[in-house]
Amino acid sequence: MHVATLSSAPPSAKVLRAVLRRLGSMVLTLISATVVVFLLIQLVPGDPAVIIAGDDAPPERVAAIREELGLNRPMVIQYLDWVSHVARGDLGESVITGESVAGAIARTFPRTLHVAVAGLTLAVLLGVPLGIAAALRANSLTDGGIRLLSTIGLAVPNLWLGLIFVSVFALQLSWLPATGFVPITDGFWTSIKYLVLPAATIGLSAMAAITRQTRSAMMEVLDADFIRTLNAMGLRRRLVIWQHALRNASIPVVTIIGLDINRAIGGTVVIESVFGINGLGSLVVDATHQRDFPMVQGVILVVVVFIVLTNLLVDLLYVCLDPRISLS
Amino acid sequence: MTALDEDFTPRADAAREAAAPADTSLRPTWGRSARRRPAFSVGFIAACAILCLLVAVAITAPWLAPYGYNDQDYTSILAGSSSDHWFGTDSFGRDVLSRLMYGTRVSLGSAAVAVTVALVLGVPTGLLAGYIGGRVDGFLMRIIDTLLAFPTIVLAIGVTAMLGVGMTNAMIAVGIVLSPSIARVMRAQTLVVRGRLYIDSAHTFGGGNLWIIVRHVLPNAVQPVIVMAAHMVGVALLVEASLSFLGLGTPPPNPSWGGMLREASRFLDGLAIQIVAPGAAIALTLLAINVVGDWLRDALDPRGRVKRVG
Repeated sequence: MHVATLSSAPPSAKVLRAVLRRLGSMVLTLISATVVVFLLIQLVPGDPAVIIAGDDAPPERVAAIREELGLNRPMVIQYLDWVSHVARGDLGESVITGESVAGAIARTFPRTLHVAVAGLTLAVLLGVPLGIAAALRANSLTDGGIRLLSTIGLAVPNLWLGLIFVSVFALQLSWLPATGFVPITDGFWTSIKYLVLPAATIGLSAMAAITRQTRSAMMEVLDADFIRTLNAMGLRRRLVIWQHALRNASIPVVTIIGLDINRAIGGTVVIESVFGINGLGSLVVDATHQRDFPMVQGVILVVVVFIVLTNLLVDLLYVCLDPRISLS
Repeated sequence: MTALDEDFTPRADAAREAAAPADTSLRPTWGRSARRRPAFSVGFIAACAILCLLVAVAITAPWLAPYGYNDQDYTSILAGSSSDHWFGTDSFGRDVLSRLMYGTRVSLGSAAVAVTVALVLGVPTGLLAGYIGGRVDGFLMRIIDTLLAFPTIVLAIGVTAMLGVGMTNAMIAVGIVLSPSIARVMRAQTLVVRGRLYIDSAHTFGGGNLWIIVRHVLPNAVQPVIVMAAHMVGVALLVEASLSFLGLGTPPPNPSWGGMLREASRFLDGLAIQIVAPGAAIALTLLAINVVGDWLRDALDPRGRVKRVG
């Protein structure tokens, strides 16, 4: 068994080539993501222009909307036109308010990101130590308790958890504000006060997955030959665990954290309505009710681009953690 | 069981390692039982009991429920638990317990429909990608991987936005969103099975591709997909509840657990039975589905169990 901590990663041409291949794959994914988001509108039963205008709209209005959205041109032309605008940061205008889609997203996305990042941070800070604790005392009462907690954590829907948090901590105990959002730039502590409940809601379910993964990865590594060798060499247990075992166990954990970014954004989109946060979730839900197709497409595209980019970062992080991985 | 294709070279061993579950028989059949079945733990039996109870409630709701799901009692609005209304009443004076019971129907039913949609879309796609391979595989996998990059609920909202808000559309949307995961697992399994000797021999016997896919590839590749589908009922239930909570799924006055949470959260200013009950129903169902799904996975894939215990 190769001990990762004992080797250093020379920034070789091989790694560079692997990184470039990963970048190329990311570009392809981004392109196909734009195709998927573009094709979404094909799911609309009937004529999108009629749906936007309303059933009893005059034909001129329908024709105007069709012209505005470019729906009367061949699909390939529509796509190329749309994607060239997207590449320049122009996601079109809301068909309801006329507001620029990019502007609306720029206004709301930071709020969603605040909550998701705070939740994920909480999940990592709690989940990793809990997973390690469970692995070190495998099959003990502590382990059982932590596993039970994470099993329940995976089953409790976060919208329900959010509702319970709001009712108990905000409405009954009045410890924290129930709804609203203050950006972190407008005062750190005020912002934290508003962030605690949503972040805890997102964090607890993400924590369950991280705890589970840390526990099983840690147990697998602790069972490995090189750990036994290090123990036999008389290395201090703390050193073995924190320096050698944890680093080798960190790869599957980082994978889960990467997946959790996806889940945290999805979760935030749902719980925003619980906490009255006017983020991306509220934007896309309102747009869905109003059948504001360009707005919905814009939000979904931005979310997926964000996730693809963060996944790229996670993949690059692997190389730092483990030089054995060649990003294949 | 014959051992005609037993091959003890290291490469064959590696291939067997890659195959889950390991299969060395020449004539595969449907419904092969697991060789090593994990024990029936208390948790598993409890989970099965909960699921059976839920299905029973879903079927018998009209007879079992003390009130109709839309019966209003204007003398008790948002009342707490009482002997008349065990779980209290909602903002329209409707019995929460009765709505929960009818909601079992909506929630379980729509989750089942959504998973069926996901299977109908995902299984053939995965089979085709894995069996044909080459450019078709590359193309399909690119789309599948792209779809998997979207957060489930965000894509579900997007599809709902296009199809229009409503219960049927929500089910279809959830099904569409879950289908790439099914297709991915189906493809991986198809790739494994396609390399087996019995597929080659089926070709030698002059079997057509369609016949080989349906008769040999599908039965041998489908087990992990079944396990995944079991877990997916839970995901579908959760996504449907989230959509209904956001007002994009089951429209009122139809009872769905997510919709009940939505209504309760609008009128209550503290923790109350109206919020606890529907959420607990969702959580308990998810827990039971996860436990049964885990058990199924262990039963059908002995390797997974070893890994979990280790």
